[in-house]
Amino acid sequence: MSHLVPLSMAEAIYSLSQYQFTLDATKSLEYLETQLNIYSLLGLYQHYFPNEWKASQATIYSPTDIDCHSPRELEFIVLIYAHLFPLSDWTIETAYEQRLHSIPITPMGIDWTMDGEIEHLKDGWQLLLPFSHNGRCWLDDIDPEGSDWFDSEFAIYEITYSNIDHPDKIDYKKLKRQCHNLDNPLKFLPLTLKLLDHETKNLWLDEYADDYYHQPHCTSLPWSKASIDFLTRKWQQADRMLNCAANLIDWLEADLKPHAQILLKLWKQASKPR
Amino acid sequence: MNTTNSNKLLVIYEGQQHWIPEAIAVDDQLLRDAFTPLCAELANADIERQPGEPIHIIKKPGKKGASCLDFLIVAPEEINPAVQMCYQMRQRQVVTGIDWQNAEQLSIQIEEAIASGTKFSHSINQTLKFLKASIPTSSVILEGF
Repeated sequence: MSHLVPLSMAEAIYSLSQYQFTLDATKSLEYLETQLNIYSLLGLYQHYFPNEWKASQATIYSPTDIDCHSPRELEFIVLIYAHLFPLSDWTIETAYEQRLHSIPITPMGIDWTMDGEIEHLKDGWQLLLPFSHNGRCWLDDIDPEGSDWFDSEFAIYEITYSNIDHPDKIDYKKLKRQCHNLDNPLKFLPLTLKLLDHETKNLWLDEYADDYYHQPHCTSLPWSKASIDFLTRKWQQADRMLNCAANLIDWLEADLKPHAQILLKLWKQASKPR
Repeated sequence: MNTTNSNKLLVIYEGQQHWIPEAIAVDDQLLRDAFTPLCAELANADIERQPGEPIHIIKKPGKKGASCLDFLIVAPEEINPAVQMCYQMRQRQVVTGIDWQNAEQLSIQIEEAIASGTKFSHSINQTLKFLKASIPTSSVILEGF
């Protein structure tokens, strides 16, 4: 309901700030961008979380600055993170200090190319690197030799870099057929390799992060129902893919030596005829 | 038809008769320059001369919006929709504060105002750019003007 008397100090300050004149087109557009952000977030909150909206006690007015999200808007951003799709730590922290004018996409795929990331990759993922195009190129390019690093990690499991046929020599249709007939997690090998190659056709998994924590230049989408529905749907799909891959990685690591040999055998069977 | 009058020649532009000093009328470019203040597009006009006939100055059909004047003519005359919406939102929120009940509808309206306001600003900027790029030209003031 519209009312004439502000109910809080923050609302009074907000209403008073509306008395400013804006005749300049650029300033008007800036004002409207902020208004669009406020009303989009409040509208989307009511649409996606009607119960939480009704129960909320958080104010819709920013206590400090119009350029910062209000507690109610922040509540919505946290609900998105909790129920719909991931937002990075950087995004959440930034939202407390400045407006998110669009939804930043946090890359959730497998990326080992940043400094030190290879060490954080699980053994199963490290083992699969030379089986993927991206991993193979990266291992061939890094200095000192990536193949030496691989052998130092996996020779004890009787699998060496030179044993693994180059991905270019693999008949992927054949590999897919062979995997399809398996009843162990190795059936997820083609999908897992797509994850390493960032070729899943899912933006959550195919995007690369320039810097995992601080991602000022990542892809983003406007605040709208279409964007949220799309991102939610894609994240559900991405989550399923990541679970399948995690299944395979866990299976490999459960008994690395024999499982690596099974993998190698399957790989060789899928080689193109020489 | 008498086409001379005490060192002046008869020039016809869009059916109207203009007596122009002979020194100007005999030279195509001077004649164009003399008529340009009437209509900027005459800077490239065709001149038709036939013995015993008045001179005809004919505007070349140009590309729409190509000349500075055309840009001014097509430039929007109303208030920028973004400025208008900004004013309306300020007026509304003085009374209602943040009108969260109508958030969805308002966000659609604001988005539309931003789109049309940006288009409007772009159009104005194009006109301004064209005006700034136009080379000032001196012209002869026609008799009677």
